[in-house]
Amino acid sequence: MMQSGGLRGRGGSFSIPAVFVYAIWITVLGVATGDPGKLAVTALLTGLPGLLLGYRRFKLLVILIVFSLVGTFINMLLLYNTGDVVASIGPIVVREEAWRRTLSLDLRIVTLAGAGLLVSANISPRDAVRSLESELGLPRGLAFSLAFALRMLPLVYKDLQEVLGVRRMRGYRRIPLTPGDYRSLLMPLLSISIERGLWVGIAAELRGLSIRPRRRVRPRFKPMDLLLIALGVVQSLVVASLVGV
Amino acid sequence: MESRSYTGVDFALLGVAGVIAAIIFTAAWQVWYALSALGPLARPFSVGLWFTGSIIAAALIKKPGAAFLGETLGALIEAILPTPGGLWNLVYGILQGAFAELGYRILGYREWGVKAGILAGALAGIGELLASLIYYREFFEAVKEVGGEVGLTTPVLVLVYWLVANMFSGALYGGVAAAAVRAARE
Repeated sequence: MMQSGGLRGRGGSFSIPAVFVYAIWITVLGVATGDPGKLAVTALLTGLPGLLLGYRRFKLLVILIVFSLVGTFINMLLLYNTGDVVASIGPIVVREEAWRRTLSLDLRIVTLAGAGLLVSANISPRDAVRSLESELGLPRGLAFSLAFALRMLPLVYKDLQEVLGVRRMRGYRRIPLTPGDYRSLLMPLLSISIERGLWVGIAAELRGLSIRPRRRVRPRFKPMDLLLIALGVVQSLVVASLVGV
Repeated sequence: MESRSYTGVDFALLGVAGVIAAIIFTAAWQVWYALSALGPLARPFSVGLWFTGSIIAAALIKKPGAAFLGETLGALIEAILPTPGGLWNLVYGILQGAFAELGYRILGYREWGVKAGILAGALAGIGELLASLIYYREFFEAVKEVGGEVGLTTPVLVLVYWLVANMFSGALYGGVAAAAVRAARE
Protein backbone atom coordinates (compact mmCIF):
# COMPACT_ATOMS: atom_id res chain seq x y z
CA MET A 1 0.00 0.00 0.00
CA MET A 2 1.54 3.30 -1.05
CA GLN A 3 0.64 6.57 0.63
CA SER A 4 1.84 10.06 -0.08
CA GLY A 5 3.42 12.15 2.65
CA GLY A 6 6.34 11.60 4.94
CA LEU A 7 6.87 10.03 8.33
CA ARG A 8 5.68 11.72 11.47
CA GLY A 9 7.99 12.47 14.33
CA ARG A 10 11.16 12.95 12.35
CA GLY A 11 13.46 15.74 13.36
CA GLY A 12 16.48 17.50 11.94
CA SER A 13 17.03 19.60 8.85
CA PHE A 14 17.45 16.67 6.46
CA SER A 15 15.00 13.94 5.48
CA ILE A 16 15.86 10.44 6.73
CA PRO A 17 16.15 8.74 3.30
CA ALA A 18 18.40 11.57 2.05
CA VAL A 19 20.78 11.20 5.03
CA PHE A 20 20.86 7.41 4.63
CA VAL A 21 21.52 7.53 0.88
CA TYR A 22 24.15 10.27 1.31
CA ALA A 23 25.97 8.34 4.05
CA ILE A 24 25.91 5.12 2.00
CA TRP A 25 27.15 6.96 -1.09
CA ILE A 26 30.02 8.67 0.77
CA THR A 27 30.94 5.30 2.35
CA VAL A 28 31.15 3.82 -1.16
CA LEU A 29 33.31 6.75 -2.34
CA GLY A 30 35.54 6.43 0.73
CA VAL A 31 36.34 2.79 0.04
CA ALA A 32 36.48 3.24 -3.74
CA THR A 33 39.56 5.46 -3.64
CA GLY A 34 42.90 5.12 -1.91
CA ASP A 35 44.27 8.43 -3.11
CA PRO A 36 45.07 10.69 -0.12
CA GLY A 37 44.20 13.86 -2.08
CA LYS A 38 40.72 12.63 -2.96
CA LEU A 39 40.15 11.18 0.49
CA ALA A 40 41.15 14.54 2.00
CA VAL A 41 38.18 16.11 0.19
CA THR A 42 35.69 13.48 1.44
CA ALA A 43 37.17 13.72 4.95
CA LEU A 44 36.88 17.50 4.90
CA LEU A 45 33.35 17.71 3.44
CA THR A 46 31.78 14.74 5.24
CA GLY A 47 34.15 13.24 7.82
CA LEU A 48 34.94 16.33 9.86
CA PRO A 49 31.37 17.74 9.91
CA GLY A 50 30.13 14.26 10.92
CA LEU A 51 32.66 13.97 13.73
CA LEU A 52 31.87 17.51 14.95
CA LEU A 53 28.10 16.87 14.88
CA GLY A 54 28.55 13.48 16.52
CA TYR A 55 30.84 14.86 19.23
CA ARG A 56 27.90 16.44 21.06
CA ARG A 57 26.14 13.11 21.58
CA PHE A 58 28.95 10.57 21.24
CA LYS A 59 31.96 12.30 22.79
CA LEU A 60 33.74 9.13 23.95
CA LEU A 61 33.32 7.47 20.56
CA VAL A 62 34.89 10.42 18.71
CA ILE A 63 37.81 10.48 21.17
CA LEU A 64 38.33 6.74 20.62
CA ILE A 65 38.27 7.21 16.85
CA VAL A 66 41.13 9.71 17.25
CA PHE A 67 43.02 7.08 19.30
CA SER A 68 42.56 4.52 16.53
CA LEU A 69 44.04 7.02 14.02
CA VAL A 70 47.18 7.14 16.16
CA GLY A 71 47.14 3.33 16.34
CA THR A 72 47.12 3.12 12.54
CA PHE A 73 50.19 5.37 12.43
CA ILE A 74 52.02 3.12 14.94
CA ASN A 75 51.18 0.00 12.88
CA MET A 76 52.39 1.59 9.65
CA LEU A 77 55.62 2.73 11.32
CA LEU A 78 56.26 -0.85 12.44
CA LEU A 79 55.40 -2.45 9.11
CA TYR A 80 56.05 -0.09 6.22
CA ASN A 81 58.60 2.52 7.32
CA THR A 82 60.57 2.49 4.06
CA GLY A 83 61.53 5.03 1.42
CA ASP A 84 62.67 8.62 1.75
CA VAL A 85 62.55 10.37 5.12
CA VAL A 86 59.45 12.58 5.42
CA ALA A 87 59.82 13.80 9.00
CA SER A 88 61.74 13.16 12.22
CA ILE A 89 59.94 13.39 15.57
CA GLY A 90 62.66 12.96 18.20
CA PRO A 91 64.01 9.43 17.78
CA ILE A 92 61.17 8.46 15.41
CA VAL A 93 61.96 8.72 11.70
CA VAL A 94 58.87 8.72 9.49
CA ARG A 95 59.45 7.49 5.94
CA GLU A 96 57.44 7.95 2.77
CA GLU A 97 55.66 4.58 2.62
CA ALA A 98 54.46 4.69 6.25
CA TRP A 99 53.30 8.29 5.85
CA ARG A 100 51.37 7.66 2.60
CA ARG A 101 49.63 4.56 3.93
CA THR A 102 48.74 6.20 7.26
CA LEU A 103 47.33 9.23 5.48
CA SER A 104 45.14 7.14 3.15
CA LEU A 105 43.79 4.87 5.85
CA ASP A 106 43.23 7.59 8.46
CA LEU A 107 41.42 9.82 5.97
CA ARG A 108 39.21 6.84 5.03
CA ILE A 109 38.47 6.13 8.71
CA VAL A 110 37.52 9.80 9.25
CA THR A 111 35.31 9.79 6.11
CA LEU A 112 33.42 6.61 6.99
CA ALA A 113 33.09 7.36 10.70
CA GLY A 114 31.90 10.87 9.89
CA ALA A 115 29.32 9.56 7.40
CA GLY A 116 28.03 7.09 10.01
CA LEU A 117 27.88 9.77 12.69
CA LEU A 118 25.89 12.04 10.35
CA VAL A 119 23.18 9.35 10.35
CA SER A 120 23.30 8.75 14.11
CA ALA A 121 23.38 12.44 15.00
CA ASN A 122 20.42 13.34 12.77
CA ILE A 123 18.13 10.33 13.13
CA SER A 124 16.75 8.55 16.19
CA PRO A 125 16.86 4.72 16.05
CA ARG A 126 13.05 4.55 16.10
CA ASP A 127 12.70 6.90 13.12
CA ALA A 128 15.45 4.97 11.35
CA VAL A 129 13.51 1.71 11.68
CA ARG A 130 10.29 3.30 10.45
CA SER A 131 12.04 4.87 7.50
CA LEU A 132 13.92 1.68 6.64
CA GLU A 133 10.65 -0.29 6.50
CA SER A 134 8.24 2.25 5.05
CA GLU A 135 10.43 4.33 2.75
CA LEU A 136 13.46 2.20 1.92
CA GLY A 137 11.74 -1.20 1.69
CA LEU A 138 13.37 -3.28 4.46
CA PRO A 139 11.51 -6.66 4.63
CA ARG A 140 8.74 -6.64 7.24
CA GLY A 141 10.12 -9.51 9.31
CA LEU A 142 13.55 -7.92 9.56
CA ALA A 143 12.01 -4.55 10.42
CA PHE A 144 10.09 -6.29 13.24
CA SER A 145 13.29 -7.94 14.50
CA LEU A 146 15.17 -4.64 14.35
CA ALA A 147 12.40 -2.72 16.14
CA PHE A 148 12.17 -5.45 18.79
CA ALA A 149 15.95 -5.46 19.25
CA LEU A 150 16.07 -1.68 19.68
CA ARG A 151 13.13 -1.84 22.11
CA MET A 152 14.92 -4.57 24.09
CA LEU A 153 18.26 -2.76 24.14
CA PRO A 154 17.69 -0.70 27.34
CA LEU A 155 16.13 -3.74 29.08
CA VAL A 156 19.00 -6.06 28.24
CA TYR A 157 21.50 -3.34 29.09
CA LYS A 158 19.89 -3.09 32.55
CA ASP A 159 20.14 -6.89 32.89
CA LEU A 160 23.79 -6.67 31.90
CA GLN A 161 24.51 -4.09 34.59
CA GLU A 162 22.89 -6.38 37.18
CA VAL A 163 24.90 -9.38 36.03
CA LEU A 164 28.10 -7.33 36.09
CA GLY A 165 27.20 -6.07 39.58
CA VAL A 166 26.69 -9.64 40.81
CA ARG A 167 30.01 -10.64 39.24
CA ARG A 168 31.76 -7.82 41.09
CA MET A 169 30.12 -8.78 44.41
CA ARG A 170 31.34 -12.35 43.94
CA GLY A 171 34.87 -11.13 43.33
CA TYR A 172 34.99 -11.82 39.58
CA ARG A 173 36.27 -9.43 36.92
CA ARG A 174 33.66 -6.79 36.10
CA ILE A 175 34.84 -6.39 32.52
CA PRO A 176 34.78 -9.75 30.69
CA LEU A 177 38.16 -10.58 29.18
CA THR A 178 38.34 -14.34 28.70
CA PRO A 179 35.99 -16.63 26.71
CA GLY A 180 34.89 -18.11 30.06
CA ASP A 181 33.90 -14.64 31.27
CA TYR A 182 31.81 -14.17 28.14
CA ARG A 183 30.08 -17.51 28.56
CA SER A 184 29.09 -16.73 32.16
CA LEU A 185 27.89 -13.31 31.05
CA LEU A 186 25.94 -14.57 28.04
CA MET A 187 24.02 -17.35 29.80
CA PRO A 188 21.84 -15.26 32.15
CA LEU A 189 21.25 -12.61 29.48
CA LEU A 190 20.19 -15.27 26.99
CA SER A 191 17.88 -17.17 29.32
CA ILE A 192 15.95 -14.00 30.22
CA SER A 193 15.87 -12.69 26.65
CA ILE A 194 14.82 -15.99 25.04
CA GLU A 195 11.80 -16.12 27.33
CA ARG A 196 10.88 -12.53 26.43
CA GLY A 197 11.46 -13.20 22.72
CA LEU A 198 9.26 -16.30 22.70
CA TRP A 199 6.29 -14.53 24.25
CA VAL A 200 6.68 -11.40 22.15
CA GLY A 201 6.85 -13.58 19.03
CA ILE A 202 3.71 -15.50 20.01
CA ALA A 203 1.89 -12.24 20.81
CA ALA A 204 2.98 -10.70 17.49
CA GLU A 205 1.80 -13.79 15.60
CA LEU A 206 -1.56 -13.73 17.38
CA ARG A 207 -1.94 -10.06 16.47
CA GLY A 208 -1.44 -10.94 12.78
CA LEU A 209 2.22 -10.09 12.08
CA SER A 210 2.32 -12.41 9.06
CA ILE A 211 -0.84 -11.04 7.46
CA ARG A 212 -0.34 -7.36 8.29
CA PRO A 213 -0.45 -5.33 5.04
CA ARG A 214 2.74 -3.53 4.20
CA ARG A 215 2.49 0.24 4.60
CA ARG A 216 4.66 2.02 2.05
CA VAL A 217 5.25 5.74 2.33
CA ARG A 218 6.64 7.82 -0.50
CA PRO A 219 9.86 9.53 0.66
CA ARG A 220 9.39 13.25 1.25
CA PHE A 221 12.46 15.37 0.92
CA LYS A 222 13.35 18.66 2.62
CA PRO A 223 14.94 21.78 1.08
CA MET A 224 18.20 21.19 3.00
CA ASP A 225 18.58 17.86 1.18
CA LEU A 226 19.79 19.92 -1.77
CA LEU A 227 22.92 20.67 0.26
CA LEU A 228 23.55 16.93 0.65
CA ILE A 229 23.00 16.42 -3.08
CA ALA A 230 25.46 19.22 -3.90
CA LEU A 231 28.06 17.85 -1.47
CA GLY A 232 27.57 14.34 -2.87
CA VAL A 233 28.04 15.54 -6.47
CA VAL A 234 31.22 17.50 -5.61
CA GLN A 235 32.77 14.52 -3.82
CA SER A 236 31.74 12.13 -6.62
CA LEU A 237 33.39 14.38 -9.21
CA VAL A 238 36.56 14.60 -7.15
CA VAL A 239 36.78 10.85 -6.61
CA ALA A 240 36.02 10.24 -10.30
CA SER A 241 38.89 12.66 -11.06
CA LEU A 242 36.78 14.98 -13.19
CA VAL A 243 38.09 17.84 -11.05
CA GLY A 244 41.82 18.34 -10.67
CA VAL A 245 42.35 17.67 -6.94
CA MET B 1 9.11 -32.22 8.15
CA GLU B 2 9.63 -29.03 10.17
CA SER B 3 8.75 -25.81 8.33
CA ARG B 4 11.72 -23.74 7.18
CA SER B 5 9.74 -20.51 6.77
CA TYR B 6 10.09 -17.88 9.47
CA THR B 7 7.34 -17.25 12.03
CA GLY B 8 6.82 -14.30 14.38
CA VAL B 9 8.66 -16.24 17.10
CA ASP B 10 11.66 -16.71 14.79
CA PHE B 11 11.79 -13.00 13.99
CA ALA B 12 11.54 -12.17 17.71
CA LEU B 13 14.40 -14.59 18.45
CA LEU B 14 16.35 -12.94 15.65
CA GLY B 15 15.82 -9.65 17.49
CA VAL B 16 17.07 -11.34 20.69
CA ALA B 17 20.22 -12.47 18.88
CA GLY B 18 20.73 -8.96 17.50
CA VAL B 19 20.30 -7.24 20.84
CA ILE B 20 22.49 -9.72 22.74
CA ALA B 21 25.19 -9.36 20.09
CA ALA B 22 24.96 -5.57 20.34
CA ILE B 23 25.23 -5.76 24.14
CA ILE B 24 28.22 -8.07 23.92
CA PHE B 25 29.89 -5.66 21.51
CA THR B 26 29.24 -2.84 23.97
CA ALA B 27 30.74 -4.85 26.82
CA ALA B 28 33.71 -5.75 24.63
CA TRP B 29 34.30 -2.26 23.33
CA GLN B 30 36.57 -1.32 26.20
CA VAL B 31 38.89 -4.19 25.32
CA TRP B 32 38.47 -3.65 21.59
CA TYR B 33 39.25 0.07 21.70
CA ALA B 34 42.27 -0.59 23.87
CA LEU B 35 43.46 -2.95 21.12
CA SER B 36 42.44 -0.49 18.38
CA ALA B 37 44.67 2.13 19.97
CA LEU B 38 47.51 -0.27 19.18
CA GLY B 39 46.33 -0.23 15.57
CA PRO B 40 44.18 -2.38 13.26
CA LEU B 41 46.65 -5.26 13.45
CA ALA B 42 45.76 -5.84 17.11
CA ARG B 43 42.08 -6.02 16.22
CA PRO B 44 41.73 -9.56 14.80
CA PHE B 45 42.23 -11.16 18.22
CA SER B 46 38.96 -9.77 19.53
CA VAL B 47 37.10 -9.82 16.23
CA GLY B 48 35.45 -13.20 16.92
CA LEU B 49 33.09 -11.41 19.30
CA TRP B 50 31.62 -9.68 16.26
CA PHE B 51 30.62 -13.03 14.73
CA THR B 52 28.51 -14.08 17.72
CA GLY B 53 25.34 -12.54 16.26
CA SER B 54 25.28 -15.22 13.56
CA ILE B 55 26.08 -18.10 15.93
CA ILE B 56 23.48 -17.07 18.55
CA ALA B 57 20.79 -16.57 15.86
CA ALA B 58 21.51 -19.94 14.24
CA ALA B 59 21.58 -21.80 17.58
CA LEU B 60 18.28 -20.17 18.63
CA ILE B 61 16.27 -20.39 15.40
CA LYS B 62 17.84 -23.51 13.81
CA LYS B 63 16.66 -22.65 10.31
CA PRO B 64 18.53 -21.87 7.09
CA GLY B 65 19.37 -18.19 6.77
CA ALA B 66 19.38 -17.54 10.52
CA ALA B 67 23.17 -17.07 10.74
CA PHE B 68 23.16 -14.61 7.84
CA LEU B 69 20.17 -12.66 9.13
CA GLY B 70 21.46 -12.59 12.73
CA GLU B 71 24.81 -11.17 11.71
CA THR B 72 23.30 -8.68 9.26
CA LEU B 73 20.81 -7.48 11.87
CA GLY B 74 23.57 -7.02 14.44
CA ALA B 75 25.53 -5.00 11.87
CA LEU B 76 22.46 -2.90 11.10
CA ILE B 77 22.04 -2.10 14.81
CA GLU B 78 25.73 -1.21 14.94
CA ALA B 79 25.32 1.07 11.94
CA ILE B 80 22.35 2.88 13.51
CA LEU B 81 24.03 3.17 16.90
CA PRO B 82 27.29 4.84 15.95
CA THR B 83 30.54 2.92 15.68
CA PRO B 84 33.82 3.91 13.99
CA GLY B 85 33.09 1.69 10.98
CA GLY B 86 29.93 3.65 10.15
CA LEU B 87 27.77 2.09 7.46
CA TRP B 88 30.66 -0.10 6.28
CA ASN B 89 29.67 -2.30 9.23
CA LEU B 90 26.84 -3.52 7.03
CA VAL B 91 29.33 -4.90 4.52
CA TYR B 92 31.17 -6.64 7.37
CA GLY B 93 27.87 -8.04 8.66
CA ILE B 94 26.73 -9.31 5.27
CA LEU B 95 30.07 -10.99 4.44
CA GLN B 96 30.59 -12.46 7.92
CA GLY B 97 26.99 -13.66 7.98
CA ALA B 98 27.29 -15.24 4.52
CA PHE B 99 30.42 -17.18 5.50
CA ALA B 100 28.96 -18.25 8.87
CA GLU B 101 25.89 -19.43 6.97
CA LEU B 102 28.19 -21.45 4.72
CA GLY B 103 29.41 -23.31 7.81
CA TYR B 104 25.89 -24.46 8.66
CA ARG B 105 25.24 -25.22 4.97
CA ILE B 106 28.31 -27.50 4.88
CA LEU B 107 26.83 -29.42 7.81
CA GLY B 108 23.54 -29.74 5.89
CA TYR B 109 21.63 -27.57 8.38
CA ARG B 110 21.47 -30.56 10.73
CA GLU B 111 24.01 -29.48 13.37
CA TRP B 112 23.47 -26.29 15.42
CA GLY B 113 25.66 -26.98 18.46
CA VAL B 114 29.19 -26.16 19.57
CA LYS B 115 30.93 -27.91 16.65
CA ALA B 116 28.83 -26.03 14.13
CA GLY B 117 29.45 -22.79 16.06
CA ILE B 118 33.20 -23.33 15.88
CA LEU B 119 33.09 -24.04 12.13
CA ALA B 120 30.75 -21.13 11.36
CA GLY B 121 32.79 -18.76 13.54
CA ALA B 122 36.05 -19.76 11.85
CA LEU B 123 34.52 -19.31 8.36
CA ALA B 124 33.07 -15.92 9.34
CA GLY B 125 36.70 -14.87 9.79
CA ILE B 126 37.14 -15.19 6.01
CA GLY B 127 34.23 -12.79 5.48
CA GLU B 128 35.82 -10.31 7.88
CA LEU B 129 39.10 -10.56 5.99
CA LEU B 130 37.39 -9.85 2.65
CA ALA B 131 35.77 -6.68 4.03
CA SER B 132 39.06 -5.66 5.65
CA LEU B 133 40.94 -6.25 2.38
CA ILE B 134 38.95 -3.34 0.99
CA TYR B 135 38.76 -1.09 4.06
CA TYR B 136 42.29 -1.64 5.33
CA ARG B 137 43.85 -2.28 1.92
CA GLU B 138 46.89 -0.13 2.76
CA PHE B 139 48.01 -3.05 4.94
CA PHE B 140 47.84 -5.51 2.06
CA GLU B 141 49.16 -3.47 -0.87
CA ALA B 142 52.48 -4.51 -2.35
CA VAL B 143 55.47 -2.65 -0.94
CA LYS B 144 56.84 -0.34 -3.63
CA GLU B 145 60.26 0.17 -2.09
CA VAL B 146 61.27 -3.09 -0.53
CA GLY B 147 65.00 -2.41 -0.25
CA GLY B 148 65.73 -5.73 1.47
CA GLU B 149 64.70 -4.46 4.91
CA VAL B 150 61.08 -5.55 4.88
CA GLY B 151 61.53 -8.97 6.49
CA LEU B 152 58.39 -10.04 8.36
CA THR B 153 56.39 -7.07 7.20
CA THR B 154 55.47 -8.30 3.72
CA PRO B 155 51.79 -7.94 2.82
CA VAL B 156 51.45 -11.71 2.34
CA LEU B 157 52.47 -12.34 5.93
CA VAL B 158 50.10 -9.62 7.13
CA LEU B 159 47.35 -11.37 5.16
CA VAL B 160 48.16 -14.78 6.66
CA TYR B 161 48.42 -13.31 10.17
CA TRP B 162 45.07 -11.52 9.78
CA LEU B 163 43.31 -14.64 8.44
CA VAL B 164 44.70 -17.01 11.10
CA ALA B 165 43.93 -14.58 13.94
CA ASN B 166 40.41 -14.02 12.57
CA MET B 167 39.62 -17.71 12.20
CA PHE B 168 41.09 -18.60 15.59
CA SER B 169 39.15 -15.81 17.31
CA GLY B 170 35.98 -16.68 15.38
CA ALA B 171 36.19 -20.39 16.24
CA LEU B 172 36.83 -19.61 19.91
CA TYR B 173 33.97 -17.17 20.41
CA GLY B 174 31.70 -19.11 18.04
CA GLY B 175 32.07 -22.18 20.26
CA VAL B 176 31.52 -20.10 23.39
CA ALA B 177 28.35 -18.48 21.98
CA ALA B 178 26.88 -21.81 20.85
CA ALA B 179 27.64 -23.39 24.26
CA ALA B 180 26.03 -20.45 26.06
CA VAL B 181 22.84 -20.76 23.98
CA ARG B 182 22.66 -24.50 24.66
CA ALA B 183 23.16 -23.95 28.41
CA ALA B 184 20.58 -21.14 28.49
CA ARG B 185 17.95 -23.36 26.85
CA GLU B 186 18.50 -26.33 29.16
